[in-house]
Amino acid sequence: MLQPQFDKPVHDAQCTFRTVLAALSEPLAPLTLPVLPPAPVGLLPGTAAVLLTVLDQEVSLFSANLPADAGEWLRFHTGVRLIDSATDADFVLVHDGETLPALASLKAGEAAYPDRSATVIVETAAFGTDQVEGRGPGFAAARRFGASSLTAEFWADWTANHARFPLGVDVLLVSADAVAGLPRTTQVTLSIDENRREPVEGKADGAQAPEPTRVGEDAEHRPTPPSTGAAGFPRQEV
Amino acid sequence: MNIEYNYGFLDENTKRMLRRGLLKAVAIPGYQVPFGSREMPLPYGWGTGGIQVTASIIGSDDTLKVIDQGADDTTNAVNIRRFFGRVAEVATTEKTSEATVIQTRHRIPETALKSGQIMVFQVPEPEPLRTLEASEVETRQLHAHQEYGLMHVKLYEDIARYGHIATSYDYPVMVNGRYLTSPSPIPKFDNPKLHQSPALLLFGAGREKRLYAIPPYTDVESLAFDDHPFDVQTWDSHCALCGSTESYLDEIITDDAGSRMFVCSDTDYCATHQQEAKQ
Repeated sequence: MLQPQFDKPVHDAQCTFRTVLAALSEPLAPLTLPVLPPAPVGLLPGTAAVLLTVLDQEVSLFSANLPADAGEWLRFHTGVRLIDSATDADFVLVHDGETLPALASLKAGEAAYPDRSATVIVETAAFGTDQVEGRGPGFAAARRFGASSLTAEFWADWTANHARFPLGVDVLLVSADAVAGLPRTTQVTLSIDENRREPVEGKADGAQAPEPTRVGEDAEHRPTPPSTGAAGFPRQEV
Repeated sequence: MNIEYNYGFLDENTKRMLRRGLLKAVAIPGYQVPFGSREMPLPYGWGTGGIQVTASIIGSDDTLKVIDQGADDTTNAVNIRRFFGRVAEVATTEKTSEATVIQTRHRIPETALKSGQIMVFQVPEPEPLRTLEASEVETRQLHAHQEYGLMHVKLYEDIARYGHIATSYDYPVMVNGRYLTSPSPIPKFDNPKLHQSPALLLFGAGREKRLYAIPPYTDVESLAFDDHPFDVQTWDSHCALCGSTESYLDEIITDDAGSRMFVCSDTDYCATHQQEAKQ
């Protein structure tokens, strides 16, 4: 039998959205979701809450291993289009234990419309503080973060995603009852030994640097006065 | 006739579209996200963008404050506050410190904002380059290439003509070092409050159908030149009612003979100050 959705769809979606908005505004700080709907097999309750909040018939969702019942549940309650291609999807759902698709293969938007990009929802069993240190917009101070379903490969991929700003994808990490945001503006530094790896292409620093390995440092995309680089009219000539 | 509206006036599909837009706006600070602006029960130019943003985020446990040029008691502010009191059953307040959502037309309160608060700005013209380049296709390209020379030339021409940068409101800012952004027509006095603000700042332009955001703790730099640094307005006078020397002052003509007084534009701040002075 089909599971019901939120008990109070309008109000539950509203407070869930506010939690997701707060999570994305202050990234890598997990927030407890206020309402958990009865979730079908194959979706964590937290994931079910987030999906009911953001999906409708105007967007598409890709999931590599979505049980048929969960797919039916999503289609019935949200009207979302379930599609077979991750590269075209507005939302990509990744279950815990699944391999994440390469972030660069997903919709990253266009230079004039970077908002036309994918949002990746990654399920995770637990949040921690052991993998990375994040900074960027939304960080009053650097924050430590970890999620059991994320690997060192993901964080290397993330560094490349961050470097494409303003293009790129955004990630929501969801556990059974909490959500953490990872917008493309977040810059991470790996903080555990085994995660130390070769820098991703295009990064000059990082490999030789002593621990903690610094990745994601990218002069072009850090806050700089508009007088430098491609920003246009050089200050000095004025 | 008693017409029942959906909670928050907008239908759920519209709210979801706005919510998805707001999430992308937060992820790309300062970038203008297009959205399908709906017809609202008041004309464009009266805050339809801000109202739609507020309607998509507000919930029954929120406390809403609405200001118009800093004042809680002007027509626009009173009506928008009553509108949400009616369609969203929210508590309303005039106290900046008690509000969870503050919708504003053209001011940022003097009282420092707190983490967890959300400011919603009503924006008439979201595109800072529009007066310099009329074509939307063209300004999109300028943003895509981070080509903001036009704006620097405009500020430079101000200096050449007047000896200083004459823009005193809607003063352009760079958000997170990437996007040139209109802070909405707030006086440049308020620009420094945008930088590393603990509150989330959301902007809605109803007629122009654009959303944008400045997340908390984000670098916001007002454009300037090394030899003409950014500065804010100052007054020789102080508030005639509360005596504050730190707030943004409005000049009010009091009679036909040309007498005038300066008073705080932020009515909540001014009233709080007057009360403190009495005690």
